[in-house]
Amino acid sequence: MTSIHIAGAGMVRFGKYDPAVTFEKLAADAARNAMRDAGAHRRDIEAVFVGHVFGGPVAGQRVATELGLGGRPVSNHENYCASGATALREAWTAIRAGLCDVALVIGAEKMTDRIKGGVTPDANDLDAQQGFVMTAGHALSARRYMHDHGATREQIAMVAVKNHAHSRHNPYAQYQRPVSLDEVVNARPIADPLGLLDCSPISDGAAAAVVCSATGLKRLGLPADRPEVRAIGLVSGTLRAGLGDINEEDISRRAGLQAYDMAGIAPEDIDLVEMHDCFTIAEIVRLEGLGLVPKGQGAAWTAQGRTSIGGTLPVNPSGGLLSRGHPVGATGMAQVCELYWQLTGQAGQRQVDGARLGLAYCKGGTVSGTDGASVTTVVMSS
Amino acid sequence: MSATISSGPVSSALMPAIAETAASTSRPLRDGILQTDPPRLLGSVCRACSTRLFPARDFCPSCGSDDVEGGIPLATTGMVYSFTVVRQAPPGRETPYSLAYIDLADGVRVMAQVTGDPDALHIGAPVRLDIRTVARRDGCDLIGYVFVPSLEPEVA
Repeated sequence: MTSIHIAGAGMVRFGKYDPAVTFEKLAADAARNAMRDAGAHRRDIEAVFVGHVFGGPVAGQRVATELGLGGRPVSNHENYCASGATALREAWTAIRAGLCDVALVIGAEKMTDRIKGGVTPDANDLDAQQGFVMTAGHALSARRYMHDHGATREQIAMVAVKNHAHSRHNPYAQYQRPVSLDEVVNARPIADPLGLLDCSPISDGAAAAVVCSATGLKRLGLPADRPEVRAIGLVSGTLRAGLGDINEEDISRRAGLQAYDMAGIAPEDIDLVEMHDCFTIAEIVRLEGLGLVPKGQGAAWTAQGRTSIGGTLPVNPSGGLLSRGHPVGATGMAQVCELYWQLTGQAGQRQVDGARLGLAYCKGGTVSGTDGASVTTVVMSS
Repeated sequence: MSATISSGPVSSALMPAIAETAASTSRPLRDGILQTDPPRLLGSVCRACSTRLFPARDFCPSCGSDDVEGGIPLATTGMVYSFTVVRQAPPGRETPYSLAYIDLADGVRVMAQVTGDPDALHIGAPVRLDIRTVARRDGCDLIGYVFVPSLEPEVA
């Protein structure tokens, strides 16, 4: 079976764009940056995979038309915040199946002109009918984590401090200034114990990559040592009966095992992580679920700097969702862009030394009664 | 605190008819999840392994059995497993409100709002079920459920 590589990557800066800047423009600009980086011309692209949540029907085809890529297979992929990574998985699957050798994958979202007050599950969801919003779910998780493990509010807040410190050096990040611990713990309360700076922002943005087989790399005239996508795990949540630990993160554990097994690695081989820190506490419990940090120690690890750049396991050198921004369908591909830059030594002042094996984790959506909707785990090596 | 259902008791057997009748003045938030007389949440129980679930399913997620009975009234008392006070929500929902996971006395976890003083809430606080009108839509009262802090010792 062929190896799968990232031939080139590109983004637009995440942030709040004017309503006149369209979803299509953001997505097409990121795609052009990725194609330029890969040295790929329109004629090289055989298929287009687009992840988004709020882009509307056939958003991918609207973007492909902008790019002059009409006529090819174009597909739209929705797994809430894991949509971008799910689109990558579909491209990866198609290439492994021999359907194409060079694919364009785009994650894109335009949120600031249509989402107010935070994202929610679908209105049909029973929890949504009780007033469940995403922040509330993570607040319930944080409260219980503090109760069960003796973690402090300040330790959890340090996730935001760390990730904002990292993205000072990320030109694509929505926020590029440091944030103090005082600012995080004293921010406007959103869902106790979480405040505004524990939450990723509502953002616009897009990220893309040209994904190739070994044959595709040759066709583009690129060396065979472009970063390899070693595995992409995808799992969904399961119904939880009984009174178990809500921070058990069985869904993360299963997604991790799937990726480690597929890539033939152990968790301790991983040099850096791009983690779905939609909320501060989420980074902590998901690292634990993946088996990268011992159960109950994630908050302490963060406060000790072990997950900072220069620490034993750098997490979110990009700034993560908290600071790079979180245009939901774009996030998975932004993580892939960051791993690509880290693994090719192009990450500038946020470069993780000796980055050879990276993991990107996305979690998308909730379904009442389960431990989540979708989780993706992308393993890439230099 | 008592239920505030304007149209009187509704038996679970009538629910499908009510949901389909436009002239009704009240209906449950969702078919089959509760009854008002007596006020109970309705779940399912697995005949093979006794696992209880809310809402009811036609299979057991614990042991995989299809031998499951629905329409089972669940315990009306429980304890707060975790809680939050939501202070910002999308338009259409008044804030603040308290949202919690409630561990019912018969081993079922339910997500619901908790009434009363949010500052008095704590993990382990005893609460009891209240079936009441939770919203109004198209001229119809929607009957849902909340939990009310209880000072009495929990009764299983």
